[in-house]
Amino acid sequence: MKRAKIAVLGAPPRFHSLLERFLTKVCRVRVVGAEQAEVCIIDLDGYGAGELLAAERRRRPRRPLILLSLQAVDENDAVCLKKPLQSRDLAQALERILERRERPAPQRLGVDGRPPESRPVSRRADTKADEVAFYDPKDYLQELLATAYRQALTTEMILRIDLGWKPIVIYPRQRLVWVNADERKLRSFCRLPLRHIVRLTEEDGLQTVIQPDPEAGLREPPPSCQRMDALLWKVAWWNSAGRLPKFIAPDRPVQLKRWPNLTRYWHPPQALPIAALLYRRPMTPLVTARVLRLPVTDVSGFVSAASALRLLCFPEECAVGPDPVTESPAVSERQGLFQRIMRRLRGG
Amino acid sequence: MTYRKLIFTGPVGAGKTTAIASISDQPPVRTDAAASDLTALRKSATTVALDYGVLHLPDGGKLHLYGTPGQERFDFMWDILTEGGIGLILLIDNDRADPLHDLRRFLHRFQSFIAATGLALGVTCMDLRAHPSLESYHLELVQLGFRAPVLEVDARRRTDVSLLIQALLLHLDPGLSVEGGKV
Repeated sequence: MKRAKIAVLGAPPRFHSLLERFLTKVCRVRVVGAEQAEVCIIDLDGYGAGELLAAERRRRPRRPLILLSLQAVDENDAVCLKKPLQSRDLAQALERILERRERPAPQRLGVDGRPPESRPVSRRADTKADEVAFYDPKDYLQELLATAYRQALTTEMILRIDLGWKPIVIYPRQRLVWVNADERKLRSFCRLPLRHIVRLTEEDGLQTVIQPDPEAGLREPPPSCQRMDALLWKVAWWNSAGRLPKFIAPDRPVQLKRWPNLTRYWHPPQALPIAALLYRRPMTPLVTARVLRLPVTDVSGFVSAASALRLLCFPEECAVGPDPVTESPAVSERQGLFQRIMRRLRGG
Repeated sequence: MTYRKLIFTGPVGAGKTTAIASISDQPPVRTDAAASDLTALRKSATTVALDYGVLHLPDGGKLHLYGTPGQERFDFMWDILTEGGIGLILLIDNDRADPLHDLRRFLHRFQSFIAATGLALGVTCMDLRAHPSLESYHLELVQLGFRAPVLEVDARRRTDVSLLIQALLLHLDPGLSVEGGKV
């Protein structure tokens, strides 16, 4: 397939070469001069960047632009990315532009005119269904991990996942998994779709594979092993990055079959009320966010993680609001007491 | 000033005394006696009347933490202790001979108190024995007509006990705010 041509303008030499390496290896595009480019990336923090942008708009008003800046920039006709630049954001912005160019009539358009997988993530509690962003778990580590878990548990063999990144070893008997990376590295790894990682490494002849690891069977699992369920939970939450799995509609009710084991799983504080509400009754992700006054991204992360562990079911009845609570002095007193206990337990 | 009670119950050795000690703002009051029956096989002393701890609340009120004796021959204390309670923390030791039987026994005994308030189930010693799984406990609860948060707990860890209590409060009222960073 023909590689798209991208120009990088206004960036200092070191930043330029870093971007060039990322664009070439991860995004699989060619970095070319301004004259040949189909898409232009402009570093607005460079000297004379304002003039560069004005000239670009004058000469090629239809060419898609990606603007990088330390400041928050709002340009209607361009994709603006704030520094420090996240590799995932740049890769997604570019992918979105190239997809639009290659497929002028994308399927499943929302009212915002974007396909759901490429929508920007909305953090508001009152997000509408057409503004919710989606992702395909199959593109990320969570699906690979889930597949490897299934294979390991079925065959009862120690399996190793080679991604061209850090090896992951699964010990099915002990229900443990070992990742040779700390939390920070794993979390940033989860930001990228696997195909981008494979692209980075395929030139060295590496591919994503799940294979038996008989050598690991000769030793005890390392002490730094994690529980299989706990790893899959957080990987799915991080893969979600505030988006819903594409097979879960934001306006379709979901319910927790049981509470996730939150004493052993990574979670932000908001996970507790989400768990309580979704365990109590079926509710759509959108309504859950609205009732709890939480960003829909938090609910999406929770739903994604719970779905990865198969803790969700999809009842047909839809709850549209909170439980009716009878206002009485006793109820208010109880709420006040519970709230004070919560505050005390959370160190407030 | 508010004076309310939270009740911890469960079989002998499940970690009630330890859980109260983990969360209490002051050294807990214990009514231990040397174990003389089968309990001696599990631990040297056991609670005979109650364990007591306290959590000071931001408004100057107190949440009293009461632990019931685990042995059934002291069950006359159970009704006395639950009077005025806001909910039940049930701890089950997964390393006992038949933990699901323990669960059924305590659910049956505290049925009316749970119906009037609420329940959170903490399963201890899962590091020693992984089965029954949390899912098995959940299915057992559902079969007996209960719905409750079920979490794995190490009674020595304050964060675990704190999370279990928070789960109980949110189970009773999901609209509670969770501001504040720590668990």
